[in-house]
Amino acid sequence: MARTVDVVRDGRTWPTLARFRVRQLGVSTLVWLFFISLMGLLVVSGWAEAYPTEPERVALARSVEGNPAFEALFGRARALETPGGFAIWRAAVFTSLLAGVWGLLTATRLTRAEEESGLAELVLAGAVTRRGVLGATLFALGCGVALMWALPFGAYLLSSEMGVRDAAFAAAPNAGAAALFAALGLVTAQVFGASRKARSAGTAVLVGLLLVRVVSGVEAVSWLEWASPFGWVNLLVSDEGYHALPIALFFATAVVLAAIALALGASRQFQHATVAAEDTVAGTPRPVRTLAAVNRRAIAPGVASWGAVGGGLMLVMGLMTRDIMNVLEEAAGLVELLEGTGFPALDRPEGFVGVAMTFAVLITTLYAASAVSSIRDEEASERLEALLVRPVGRVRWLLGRVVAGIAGIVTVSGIAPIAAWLGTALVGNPLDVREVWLGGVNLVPISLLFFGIGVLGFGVWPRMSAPVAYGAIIGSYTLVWIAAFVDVPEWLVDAMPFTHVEAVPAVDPAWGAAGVMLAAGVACVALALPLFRRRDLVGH
Amino acid sequence: MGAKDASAVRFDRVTKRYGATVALDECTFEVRPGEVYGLLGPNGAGKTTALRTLLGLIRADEGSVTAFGHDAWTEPVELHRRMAYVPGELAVWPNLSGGQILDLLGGLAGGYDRAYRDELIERFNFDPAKKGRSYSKGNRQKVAVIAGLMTRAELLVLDEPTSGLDPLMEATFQECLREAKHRGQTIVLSSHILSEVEAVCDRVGILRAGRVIESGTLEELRHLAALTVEARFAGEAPDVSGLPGVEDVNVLDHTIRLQVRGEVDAVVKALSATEITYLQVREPSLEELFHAYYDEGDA
Ligand SMILES: Nc1ncnc2c1ncn2[C@@H]1O[C@H](COP(=O)(O)OP(=O)(O)O)[C@@H](O)[C@H]1O
Ligand SMILES: [Mg+2]
Repeated sequence: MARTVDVVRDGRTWPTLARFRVRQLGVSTLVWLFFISLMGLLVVSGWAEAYPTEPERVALARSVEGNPAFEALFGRARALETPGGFAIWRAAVFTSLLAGVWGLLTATRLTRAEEESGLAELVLAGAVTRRGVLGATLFALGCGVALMWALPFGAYLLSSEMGVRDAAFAAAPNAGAAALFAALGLVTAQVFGASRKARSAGTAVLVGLLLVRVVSGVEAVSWLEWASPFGWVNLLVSDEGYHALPIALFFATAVVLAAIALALGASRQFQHATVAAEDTVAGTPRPVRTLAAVNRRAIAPGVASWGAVGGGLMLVMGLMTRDIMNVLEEAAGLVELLEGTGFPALDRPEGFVGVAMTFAVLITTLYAASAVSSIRDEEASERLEALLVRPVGRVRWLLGRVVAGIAGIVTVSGIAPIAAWLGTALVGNPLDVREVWLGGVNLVPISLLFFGIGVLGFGVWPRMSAPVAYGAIIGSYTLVWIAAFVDVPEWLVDAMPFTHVEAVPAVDPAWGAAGVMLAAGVACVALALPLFRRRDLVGH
Repeated sequence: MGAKDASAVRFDRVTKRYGATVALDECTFEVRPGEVYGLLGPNGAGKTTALRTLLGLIRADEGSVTAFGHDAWTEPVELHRRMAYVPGELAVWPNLSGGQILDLLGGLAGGYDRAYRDELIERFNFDPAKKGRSYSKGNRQKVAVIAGLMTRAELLVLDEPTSGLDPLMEATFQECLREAKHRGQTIVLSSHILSEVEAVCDRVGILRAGRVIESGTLEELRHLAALTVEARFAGEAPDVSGLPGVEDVNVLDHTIRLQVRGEVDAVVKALSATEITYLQVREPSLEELFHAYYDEGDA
């Protein structure tokens, strides 16, 4: 007991802080990495198997290069007959998007979300500076970014199609997008006081940049490709070989953004922000008296942001129909080549919009997963306890949230076709309203199925409900995606919901499959209700 | 630097605003090395804001906050090596165990006394093997208190440290504070619980709407307030209402109750002119003191 006061504790805090931050990257980062790497590997080996000889590869390249419909969807194709060129056009375009989302989510999670929950108070009470804490976060994100290059690089090498140089360049956009959007996330996390707003703002920028790349498919504004990081991905390679400039652009932008975040963060007070989280309600607050009103408030932000993403995408697609059709009319040969690609009627506006709708389905299903995650949030944050101690039954509560989720899915699915129609109408050749509308209807059953799967996960395994919902979507979507290149057993492909989403309005919906998906979704919810009633409430 | 400024903590006319809310309003007080200083005030008085300013987590709009001569906002590292903080609302990392959290916080502080940590874990009956997500409010509070104490920092800053602890643990905590004081540690703690402050603090500052309206030892504060005198007489009660310092006089039959501030000599002499059958003179409790200050402000 005769211990004295420890006057100066001079241990170095930097290693503790850095180790802690790296640890916080967590298992989720490993899952993203595994997924991104696997996808690159499968795309390249599948391509090599399907097109083993040089002439076959050249023929494939001819059918795609210069086709505006394809290029709007996947970006401008270059050097497609080479493994690096193909990997960049078919894999990196998608995996860099994933890597960007990883960077955005991880950066905001380690900064603003930690501050919002109060965890950062303990960190900042240590012998550290604000700049030091942010520096350690940057270091950890840097480690993640390095892995985003290293693991896909290794995976590409495994395909035995690619040399070191091919693999190095094909893996680079993953690291570049991860770095750029992580740095963007650090900036929005400094600017916005609520972590949800920081994430939404970052996502809005990301989606906007993606749309810029899509629009760059229009010949007159092809320079826009340089204005978007997702365009830089396609600019990495050309018939002359690989180019380092796009990589430099990625990292230069990331460094500038990170410097801005450091400058903002080093002088910022705990829990303060440029755009503060609102802590009072403006005007006379509308009363929130019923459970339905609580549920409406809970789903509104998600519907608004996912609706905006889907609507923005389809509006741009609609606007582009005229230019794309003009090009295709002049190049008759291209249309013939399209026959074998599995994309129906890509040379007609409803065909192009229909194919675009098969991308929109990813947005409506992801919205469904986010609705599941918000149900889980209510429980994890212990807000649910406050409701359930009142005369509100558990089943009634969950059913209310399910109904709200369904309403959200229908809304988000409805926004996409309206936007597509608006786009085509604005360029003076509107599609038939009823046909486009059917395209929206087509999105609902599959979204309800994934919603049901997520709700079932919530009933059984609450902490895993969001990963179950997101995982089911990403997993089955990827499987369908790679089935185009790799021999996947037919029954497995048939079992994947995305296989049965037709390019409506070019093709009729697969009504039978839609019925099955709807029934399965309802069954999942029906199963989840009694399971949820019987289990304990589980916090974080 | 530290030698010139004899105080451990100094708040000099510190103002902090949140929009229209004035959380601290020219808040001024001083804590001397080795003393236990209690910041007493109800919810919303500005206690947390004051302590967060001291930690350099937020910055004062006006005025200066220093500890050991270091500025709280610009020199956090120098300062935090010499102080430990127990926040009022503690969140813990859900997927780290209690032991991991303690180790992390100790590392971030620049080092800690492992043997003392183990002793504290024992005394607080804390299970460090469980994950953060499974801790109740009381257990989270134990993490914070143990993490604060185990560094044996020169200055301990505690924001309502016993909220969530049961009475037994509260007693253990007060014991730890007394030991810390014996070791020479300086302690600043905030509370809205008077008995807690009364039990451990040498000096108290009463915080009201962001201002320290009174500061001093408990003795000094009591002297500032009135004594309560109650007396019963064999005959008629004497009239003392005109005497200096006397107020709130209540006469009921042969009994008189009154408050007296300052010199008591005149009152005692006036009362004893009549035959007294019962007499009680009482110092105000901290509670009464507190109410006196607050009622005064509301009037
Ligand atoms: N981040 C903040 N934003 C807006 N107002 C705040 C914030 N923090 C504190 N306040 C306000 O400042 C005042 C003092 O709060 P606080 O220091 O938490 O009081 P105490 O800890 O004594 O209960 C309160 O009126 C509170 O509403
Ligand atoms: Mg407080």
